[in-house]
Amino acid sequence: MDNKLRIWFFPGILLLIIAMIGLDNLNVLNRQDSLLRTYANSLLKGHIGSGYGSAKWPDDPWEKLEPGDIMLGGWPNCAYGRYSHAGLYLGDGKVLESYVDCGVCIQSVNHYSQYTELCLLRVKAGSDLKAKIVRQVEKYEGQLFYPLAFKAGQRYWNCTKIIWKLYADQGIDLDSRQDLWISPESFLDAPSVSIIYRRGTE
Amino acid sequence: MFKAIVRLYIIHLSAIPAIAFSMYFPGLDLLLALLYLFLIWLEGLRVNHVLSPLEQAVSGFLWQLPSVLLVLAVIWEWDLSLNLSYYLIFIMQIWQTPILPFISLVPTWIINARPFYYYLLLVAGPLMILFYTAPAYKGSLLGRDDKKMNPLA
Repeated sequence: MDNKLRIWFFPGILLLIIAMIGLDNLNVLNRQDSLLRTYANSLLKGHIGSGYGSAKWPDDPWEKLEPGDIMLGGWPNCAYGRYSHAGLYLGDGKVLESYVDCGVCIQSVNHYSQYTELCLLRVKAGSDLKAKIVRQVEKYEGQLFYPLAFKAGQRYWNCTKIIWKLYADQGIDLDSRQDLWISPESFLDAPSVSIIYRRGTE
Repeated sequence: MFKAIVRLYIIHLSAIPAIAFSMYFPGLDLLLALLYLFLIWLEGLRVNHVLSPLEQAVSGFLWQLPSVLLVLAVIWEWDLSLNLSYYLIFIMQIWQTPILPFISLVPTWIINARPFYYYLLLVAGPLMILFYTAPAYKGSLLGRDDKKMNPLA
C-alpha cells in the first residue's frame, strides 16, 4: 500500500462507516431526544461521561426489589441523561452490571446508595420468565465491556445492552427509543416497565 | 523519527473512531482491526529502512506512551484507593479500541476478580510496541548490511 494512502485509509473508512450508519438511522438522527443530540448538548455544557458525585440517603429501598427488576442510578452531571448506569437485580442483594474493569459482572446492590438519582423498575412479566432470565446471567459473566456497544453483535456489552439482550431473548423489547445505543432512560420509557421507586431531583 | 511518530498517531487516532463505529456491523470490526495491524506492520517495515533499531523502538514507545502512562496511572491510583481509576482504565480502553476486536475474542476467564481482557488491556501497549519494532529485531538478528542487500544486484 502506498505510503500516503496508508495514513488516509482509516479517516476515509471512518467517513464511509458514519455515512452508512447515518443512512441506516435517519429517523434517529432527526429526533430531538436522540442520544447523540443529548450528548452533544451536554458537551456544550461541559459535561462528559457518566458524571460523578456522592449521596447520603437515610435508608435504602432494597426490600422492594424482586429478581428481574432493573436498577437505574445517576449523577447530576451525566452527559447522556438523568441516569448513567443500569443493573439487573438477581436476588440476595446481587445485581448484574457491566463496567470497564470487571466486564459483565455480579456486584453487591449496596453501591447504588451512592447515586444521587435512583430509580427501580419492574418489568411486566411473569416470575417464571424472570427466573429464567436470572439463570441466563452466568454465561455472560466476564464478557467485554465497551461503552459504545451497539445493539448488534455479541462481543461488546455495556450496562444497558446486557439487560436489553436478556429480556429481548425472552420476547420483551425494553428499548423504547430505538436509538443507536440503549440508554438507561430508554428502559424508563418502555411500555412493559413500571416504576416501583424513585428518588433524586424532581 | 518525528515523521514516523506522526504517521503512527494519525493511523492510530483515526483507527479508534473507525473501528468503534465499525462495531455497528459485526465482523467489520475484526476486518478493520486486521487491516490496522497490517498498516502498523508496514509502518514498522518502512521505518526499518531509515531508522536504527533504537530509533524505531523509541518511535514505538512514544506512539504508545499514552497507553503506558495510563497503565501506570491505573495501577498507581488503584494502590492509593482513589476513585479515578475507573476513568483512567476507560480512557485506556478507548485508546486500545483498534485491537479491541481481537480482545473481544479471548475467553471470559475471571482472574483475581477481574476479567481476562482487563489484563490484556494493561499489556496491550507494550505488545503493540513489540509488534511495531519486530522488523527492527529481525533486522538486528540478520545484521543490517544483509538486510539492505539488493537481491537483484
